[in-house]
Amino acid sequence: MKLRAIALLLSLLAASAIARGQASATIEKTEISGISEDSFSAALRGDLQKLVGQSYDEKAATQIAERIHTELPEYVVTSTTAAGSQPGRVVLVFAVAHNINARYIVESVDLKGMDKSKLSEGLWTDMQKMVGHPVDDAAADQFRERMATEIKNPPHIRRTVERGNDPQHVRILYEAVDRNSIGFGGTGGYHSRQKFSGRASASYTFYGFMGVKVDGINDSSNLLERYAGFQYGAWSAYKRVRFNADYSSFRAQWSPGTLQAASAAGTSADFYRLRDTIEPSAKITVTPGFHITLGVTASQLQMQEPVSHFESVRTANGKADYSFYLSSSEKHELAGSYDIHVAGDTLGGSASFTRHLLDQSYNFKLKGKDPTSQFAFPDGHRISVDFQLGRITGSAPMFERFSLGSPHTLTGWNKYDISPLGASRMAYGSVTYGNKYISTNFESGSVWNDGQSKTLYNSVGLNLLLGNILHLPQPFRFLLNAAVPGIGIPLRKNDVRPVFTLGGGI
Amino acid sequence: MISLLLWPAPLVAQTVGLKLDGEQLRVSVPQLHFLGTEVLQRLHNGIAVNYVFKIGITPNRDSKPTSPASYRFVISYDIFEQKFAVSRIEPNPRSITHLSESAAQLFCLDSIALSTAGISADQAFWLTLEYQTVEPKPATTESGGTLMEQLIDVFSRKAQRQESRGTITGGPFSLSELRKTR
Repeated sequence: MKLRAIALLLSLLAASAIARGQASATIEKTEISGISEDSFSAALRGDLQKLVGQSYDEKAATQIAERIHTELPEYVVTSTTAAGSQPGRVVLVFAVAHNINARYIVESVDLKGMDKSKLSEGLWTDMQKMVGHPVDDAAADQFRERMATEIKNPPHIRRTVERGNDPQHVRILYEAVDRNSIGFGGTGGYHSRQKFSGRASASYTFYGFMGVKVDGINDSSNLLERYAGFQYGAWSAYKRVRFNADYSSFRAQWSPGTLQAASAAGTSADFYRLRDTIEPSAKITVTPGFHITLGVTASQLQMQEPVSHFESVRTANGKADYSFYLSSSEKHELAGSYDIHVAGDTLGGSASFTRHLLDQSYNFKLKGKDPTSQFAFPDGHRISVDFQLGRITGSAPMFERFSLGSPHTLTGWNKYDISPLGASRMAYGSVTYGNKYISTNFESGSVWNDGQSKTLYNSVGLNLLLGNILHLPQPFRFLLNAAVPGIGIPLRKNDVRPVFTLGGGI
Repeated sequence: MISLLLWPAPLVAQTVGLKLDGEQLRVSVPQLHFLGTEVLQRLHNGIAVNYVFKIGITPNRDSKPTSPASYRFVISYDIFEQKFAVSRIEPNPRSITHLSESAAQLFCLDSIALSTAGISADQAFWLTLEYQTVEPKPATTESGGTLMEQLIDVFSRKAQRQESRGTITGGPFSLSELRKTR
């Protein structure tokens, strides 16, 4: 309590010192932002000139602002000061604009979703000239038009004004947003025990509010089975809601470890050969950092035993996810989600279960991410902490069960050694440190079934961004960074066999 | 059904009130929230939004007003103080700051008036109020790119998107009735 009082007193003293410092500052010059000074009466222009060389007086500045407003009543007029060319001097700025944010000084001008290299040096330099001056909508929009002229096949460029790090300062951000586009992409990964996984995607987006996509997938990393096939999807967004509908058809392949374990446990009847799924959903953006997704999933499984037959699994799904920064510097980020799948009762289908998954993470960036970076790997040092908790009640099909030991979780372990049939309970945590060149982590987790004993598995991992380490030129740097070779080492006394991984996306 | 969800009709069902203020007709639409979600998003992003309101009278519900009065406003949102500011550009320029979202909308609506000149006392009329955001012209695309890209561009070309617009119609009114209820 005593410390708080002292801190408050010091703050008040500092504030009054600043106020005195500003009050005694000499006005180096006056500037009008937003409109031409010619719009003022001669008397007003003369009084503005008389301010130069005088001590800054907030009351006098406010009176001038009121006179400007009287002459030009349709404008919002505010006075502000910017640092002068010498200590003890200020530039007195009168922001005359329709946008109230013209009263704030531009702290930085940044790009998002596009690379600075696409702009000419001259344009970038001109854009940076906005720094240190009040926000000028007309000038800022002209730069947006110049950007669209310079960039070949320009995206739709959205301009935003955000709060800056300093009080009364803002950042102007130019962001490339979806227009019509055809996109091709892919991800690929290798796990020395589970072999290759990959996904190739093609998508078409219509003005950022409607799109279709198709994915070819062969994956052994996400589920207990390797599944291969195609997924087709269409989406449409209106205001805060994004409607999504996916259809997928996958052929399942089971690992020898899973087959043996099922044979021993007498659960071979759980295996399916084909899995066809229809999945409509609606994602609602409550705030930019908080979403709720609601949907249903209808899967038809072609079971293998005792004889080939079909079973259906229908679930109602709900998910809430959030992410937000704890500070305006965006160094501290909290993110997480809660996911629930419910099957049975009125939904029909042969399965009856409830699956809960909670995922939370905290990220701390020691240096801000380069907003112009195209890559998924931030340049700055970062530390992230993640934990997941999962619980299933009832009897869930294989594709809903939890597993650990993949390129994404417990990298040093193989999921078929930990729990080849999956489990109904899961707890997992990881701590990761990364920078421009490496990423290293410690992971710990366990999967178990209700009533069974729990075994904790630990591993450490290291991934290399070879393109950055070797300082290769583009595009080799991008390709090698995307390959991100890694090693995961299980922490146990015997049989310490490392797992090697490759993985990335383009 | 999907079309209705995705592209709701711009005609919004609202209760329109009309009162006589001297020789001016003043409109009252308590349920009208013309600052839509996307517009609010833009405002919260520090961008000013231009609105044009047109008010006019018609002899029946479905016809269009022949010479509506036009009002232009610029609305902005102070990203630090989290308050709205409204500049009325025309007619009678004026600006006001430190408004809540509802107060900003009310300021615009309260500014809108229509002269009774030319309306006879017992003439029945309908009132139409239209509003829409006016966006700056989008940057034009230089010709070029692959054949596929050009085809996509051609097929996707469309009129400038109106992010927020609506039409409200009320009536029938007559000056004599309005004078009685004043």
